[in-house]
Amino acid sequence: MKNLLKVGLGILTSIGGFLEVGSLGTALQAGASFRYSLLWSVVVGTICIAFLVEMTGRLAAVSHHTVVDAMRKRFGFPMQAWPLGAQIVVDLLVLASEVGGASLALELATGISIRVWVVPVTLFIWALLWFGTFGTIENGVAVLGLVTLCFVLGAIWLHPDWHAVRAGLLPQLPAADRGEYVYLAVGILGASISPYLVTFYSSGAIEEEWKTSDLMPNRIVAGIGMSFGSVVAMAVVVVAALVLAPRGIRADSYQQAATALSLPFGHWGFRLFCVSLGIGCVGAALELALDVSYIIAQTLGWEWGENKRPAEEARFAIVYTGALLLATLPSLAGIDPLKLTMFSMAVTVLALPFVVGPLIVLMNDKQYLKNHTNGVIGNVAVVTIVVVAFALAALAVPAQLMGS
Amino acid sequence: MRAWAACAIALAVLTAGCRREPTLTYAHLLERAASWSASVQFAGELADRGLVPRTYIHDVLATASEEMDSLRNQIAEFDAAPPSARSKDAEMCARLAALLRAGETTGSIPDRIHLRDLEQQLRGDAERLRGSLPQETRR
Repeated sequence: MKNLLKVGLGILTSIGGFLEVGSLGTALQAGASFRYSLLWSVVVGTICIAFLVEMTGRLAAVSHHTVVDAMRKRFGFPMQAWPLGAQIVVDLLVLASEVGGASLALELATGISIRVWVVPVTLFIWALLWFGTFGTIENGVAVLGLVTLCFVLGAIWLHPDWHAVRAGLLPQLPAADRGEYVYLAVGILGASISPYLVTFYSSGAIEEEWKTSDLMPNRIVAGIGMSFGSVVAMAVVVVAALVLAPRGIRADSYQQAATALSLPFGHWGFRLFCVSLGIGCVGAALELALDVSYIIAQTLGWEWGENKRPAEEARFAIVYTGALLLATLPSLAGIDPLKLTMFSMAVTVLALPFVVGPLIVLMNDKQYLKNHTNGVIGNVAVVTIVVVAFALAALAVPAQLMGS
Repeated sequence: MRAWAACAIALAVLTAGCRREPTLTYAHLLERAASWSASVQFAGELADRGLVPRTYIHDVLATASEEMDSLRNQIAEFDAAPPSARSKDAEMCARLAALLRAGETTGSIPDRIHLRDLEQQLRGDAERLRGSLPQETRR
């Protein structure tokens, strides 16, 4: 019964927490520019992150080490510094995008400039971290995130051509604008395979004191939860394809995309869009700020844990405070959150091999995983997806930057 | 060291191969301008039906006029396009920006016939540019 509850809550939080600034922004642009033809990249990204999340949960349950902790012990500090340094940079970029996204949601809802909202939004996120516990952060915000299911209802209400939707599940290069297509595919992969989920999930498993009896719930949550979560992202693609694309609206900014739900939901549509963007971004910002603290604290061997009071682990709390302060800068400087998001997602994919490579080595080490090491399918699937995504990003990102 | 150099050269060659045709980049700028016009028209349709708040209309008009100014500058300075096309397209963007700013001041959606007309002209120019490219470079 306890395991069932754990699985149920895990699946709910996976669904509610799936949509954030990256997955929403890239899915809106994909649907508006290429209709259904990038749906496959959501599926590929989800397969990869489901494997990765399952692996890190397994590592924590069997070895009682977080990914960062195990990497430090296995490879030593000098080797660990590079991948974790890359991840901190990616985390900070994505955190800035999330703060910008949440502030923009308030601008859309009130008409008051994003710059006015950046500081209050950041203070709100900081207060949740300072006064909240891991449970309230992980479960509370993610359950609120279930509002994003409105995209699934909206997609069904709009009656898509299901044959065309199915065709989009297979990769197909468009006749024109292939560079932009590949760049968006990279963005979707970056949004789905966020490295922060890997380190955050394993730290959460340690915070919740997982044991080997949690292996099966972990597998179910990673597989089913992530799959349902990806349905929400696919629904965003479908809604954008049916509402924005026929009108020639490209979704270059959230102001253009904010009307995506107005046809299925009437005057509630605009509000639902703002709430989905706001909650999704706040939820992810909480996880990202914590993740930066987790990585640094675990690398340097500090006391860490969101369930401890800030006075008990002051350095841990100072790090997420600093990370949040840094994350306000791009929005205060007037950088468009969606443009920052697209850039952050591309950088995320470029950093993936440096984070995932050492993890795969760890996951095949019997010293840590005993008889729960990776199978061939998991190794091959993750390595293939990460290598292909990196190759696409290495080609598409410079080309797109030069082109624009 | 030699392996790193080989990788860097291979990446540079591949990236150069993937570099977007300037005509296509220019067509994209026109399409982005047209897309903003379409967004404002759609926002207007929804506002007529009371489906979006007034504050959003003001927000979208302000953002669209800023973007239009930026696009107009990019188009005017796009050296790879013929000067006559640049000045014509920049002029259309300037007219769109002026319409949007007027709407922002009055708090209402500008004349939609004008918006649609400018959108169609921009899209027409973009399509002609795409059509002028050989099949391979359109990609």
